[in-house]
Amino acid sequence: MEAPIFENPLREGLRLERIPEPCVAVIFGASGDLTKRKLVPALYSLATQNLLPSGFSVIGSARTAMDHEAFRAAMHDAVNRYAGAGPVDPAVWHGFAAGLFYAPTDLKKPESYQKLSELLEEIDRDRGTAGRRLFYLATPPSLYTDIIRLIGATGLHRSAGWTRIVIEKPFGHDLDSARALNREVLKVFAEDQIYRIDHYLGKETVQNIIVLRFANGIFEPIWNRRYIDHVQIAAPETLGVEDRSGYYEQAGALRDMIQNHLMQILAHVGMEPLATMEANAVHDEKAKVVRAIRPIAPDEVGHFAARGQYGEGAVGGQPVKGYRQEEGVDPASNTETYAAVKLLIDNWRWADVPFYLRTGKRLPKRVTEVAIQFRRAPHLPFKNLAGGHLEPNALILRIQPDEGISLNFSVKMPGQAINVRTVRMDFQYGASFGKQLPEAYERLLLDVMLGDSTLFIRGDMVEAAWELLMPILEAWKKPTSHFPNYEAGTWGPKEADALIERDGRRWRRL
Amino acid sequence: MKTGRDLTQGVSAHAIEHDLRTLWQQMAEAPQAELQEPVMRACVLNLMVYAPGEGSVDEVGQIMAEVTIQHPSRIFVMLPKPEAAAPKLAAWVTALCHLAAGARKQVCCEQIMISAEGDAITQLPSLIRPLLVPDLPVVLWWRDVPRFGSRVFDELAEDSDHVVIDSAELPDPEEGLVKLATLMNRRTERTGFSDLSWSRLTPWRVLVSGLFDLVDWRACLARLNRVEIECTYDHAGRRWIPSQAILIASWLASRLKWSPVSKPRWNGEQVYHAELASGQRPITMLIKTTDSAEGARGGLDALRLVVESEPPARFEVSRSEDGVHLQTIVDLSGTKVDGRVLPLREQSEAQLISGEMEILRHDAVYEQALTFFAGMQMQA
Repeated sequence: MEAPIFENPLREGLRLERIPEPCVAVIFGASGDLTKRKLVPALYSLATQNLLPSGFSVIGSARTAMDHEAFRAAMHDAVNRYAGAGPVDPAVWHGFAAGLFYAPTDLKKPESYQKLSELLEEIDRDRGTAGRRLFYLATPPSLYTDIIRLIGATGLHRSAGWTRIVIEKPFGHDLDSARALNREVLKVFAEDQIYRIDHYLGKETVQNIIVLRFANGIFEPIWNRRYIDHVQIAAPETLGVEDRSGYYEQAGALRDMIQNHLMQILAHVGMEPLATMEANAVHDEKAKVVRAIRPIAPDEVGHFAARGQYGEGAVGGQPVKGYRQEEGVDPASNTETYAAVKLLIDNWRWADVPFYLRTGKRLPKRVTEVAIQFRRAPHLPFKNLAGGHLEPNALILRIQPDEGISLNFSVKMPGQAINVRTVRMDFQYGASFGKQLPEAYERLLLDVMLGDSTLFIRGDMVEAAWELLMPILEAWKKPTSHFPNYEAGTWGPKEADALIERDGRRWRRL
Repeated sequence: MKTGRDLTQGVSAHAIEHDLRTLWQQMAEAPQAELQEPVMRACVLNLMVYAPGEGSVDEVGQIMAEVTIQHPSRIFVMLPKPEAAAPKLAAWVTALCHLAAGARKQVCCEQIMISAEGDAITQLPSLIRPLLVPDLPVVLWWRDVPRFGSRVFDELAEDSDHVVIDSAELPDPEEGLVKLATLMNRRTERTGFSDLSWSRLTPWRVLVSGLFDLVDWRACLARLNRVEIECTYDHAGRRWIPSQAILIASWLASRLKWSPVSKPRWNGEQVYHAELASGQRPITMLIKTTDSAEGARGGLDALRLVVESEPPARFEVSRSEDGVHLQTIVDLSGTKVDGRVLPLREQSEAQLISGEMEILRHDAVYEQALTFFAGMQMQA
């Protein structure tokens, strides 16, 4: 769906063009961490950049009893702590806070939604938001269905303006629950009103994958099986489970990172060229490539996936506990903190080019990157190779940190003889643009308000990703006696090394 | 790191290219290079800076150090001294380097300083032209009173894809902006123009236009009768309006498709009065000026859009007393219905120039505003 054309003649030509119409963001679960750490700080940051319209309002909704002033005070503290724009500017805050409201809500009771409806109408009258509403589900996933049903039952989804719903990941726990959630939400909202968030899609560097591929004529001709040997998508983390054990014990690395973030990156890397950047065009191509991934049969899981769980060790020189010793974790936990998957895309572009995805907690380094490993030159006429061999060309897209792109290629070393070595050419966002990259949530929230779903996930893509990984999840339900099987601070279990080495390849040193 | 030559030894483009090569070699061989990753040379555009005046070297040097973080460029800093009796050209080459992310890698770009005295100033375009890096945009930043029609300006603008001026430097903004409009209309196809005074107006324009994002308030645009602009400048005995006031007034009028009825005139010493119309509806535009501190650049203090007919309405954007915020007031039928405060981030010269270098295309809205003003001046 196109972003609405805005008929304010004074807007034309303003370099800050992407400003939405006045609307209300209703945040369910407003007393939670996401609201304090990400959502309201992002909205405040947008306000300081003059990217929010007059009249923009927020209704925080949660069980906690508080009034508007108490909510404003709580959000003030949150913004002070978590917004990147420095301490709160009192003058700016005054105006922003005038648009913050709170509605204590029992999310399972229709009466609460009635009161919410009254508050929404009052804000429409007083602040000119004209019925434009976005409902943000920042609650635990177990509450999604109740909230959606009651929004529908009380008619909140119908108004004079547009209504949209934003749903955080995880979208479902498995294929069945994802389908069920999609069915529920589609009873109340149309697909073009639904915004399933994956905050990785809000990162500049993930968006840059599409720009790199389709704004440059030199890459697309070699972006296929004739020139590419394999692709590695890696997202290791140094952190352990921290205070998320309640969620993580039910999720694990495959659900937490691979089903969503890494699959989205794979889709960006693997998709066919776009004719337009219209949201559905992008979604269509992404879903197409995910649907082309070869299903994994239950008896093939061991060949295509490997899992691990960290034991005690040391990360960055600091000793750390093993996963099973973490607070809130079952001492006999079967949850994987490491997952590696090999995927094959069965289409003309990618046949026989494996995509290796890996992620894990308590690994030596935090980095998210895509490495496009090209095929070796078919014949090397040179005898003198530095180190005795040449690395094949590789194009590395670094998502975070140290955002940028590198290309490894071979050059002649200065001297009489022809000695060849591999060097790296770098583009770094930080060096080349010297500008702070915008926060993902700022971009995503703005896009919801503008009605642009390009950076969100469509329902069919969610289900396709779950469907693909279900055999692995089913197989991994069986407890393993091998956990923990990697020491914290190392690069993961030997089973993951075997996954790639049996194909004659190896994991990149990150 | 720096190398230098002057005309007595033969300044030429060839000689400068040679010095550039020497510079890079020296940097690669410098002792510290052994300990670090190799120096990386980056260039995304050619930037020519015309910067007369004492102190320009240091001022421009600091600005370029900041600008090149985001826009590594081949920079030509022209330091003209027209008052000198004898013609003389001198040039020297330096590298501007930054430590990139992780503080391990140096990213460097080239800066060519050219001092031109007397008539040698006219040689600047021909000296620079062969040194422009091919295939990259060429930007001219005229950091001086814009001299439209002067030979050097015209030649440098001819070689440029984009010209940046600051109409706040115009000694007579009314006359100067009309000349700029003429020049711009002549060169529109090839060259885009930017005006730092216009860039400084962006926060004002964003806030003003934001007021009319609400559909109900937007309807008031078609009923406006009066526009009041307040600005401050160092009068120093002159009757003069800052270019910003002219630009924001012209912007409003051109966006809302108003027509000039008569040439603007002065009412007394400090009120500049224009009569416009939208169809049958007359609109009065007043620019009121007040004195500021001696030597102060001058700028906007308030912009007021007023509907006088029933129901009345007033939309105001003004600078706060502390000067670091802009505040909005919306008053409908005597009731204040909106008031926001937003930070007014006055941008430094480096930030303004960096902003212009991000865009590098025609600013159609600016061009229309300028054309509108030129049209107003032609009225009887």
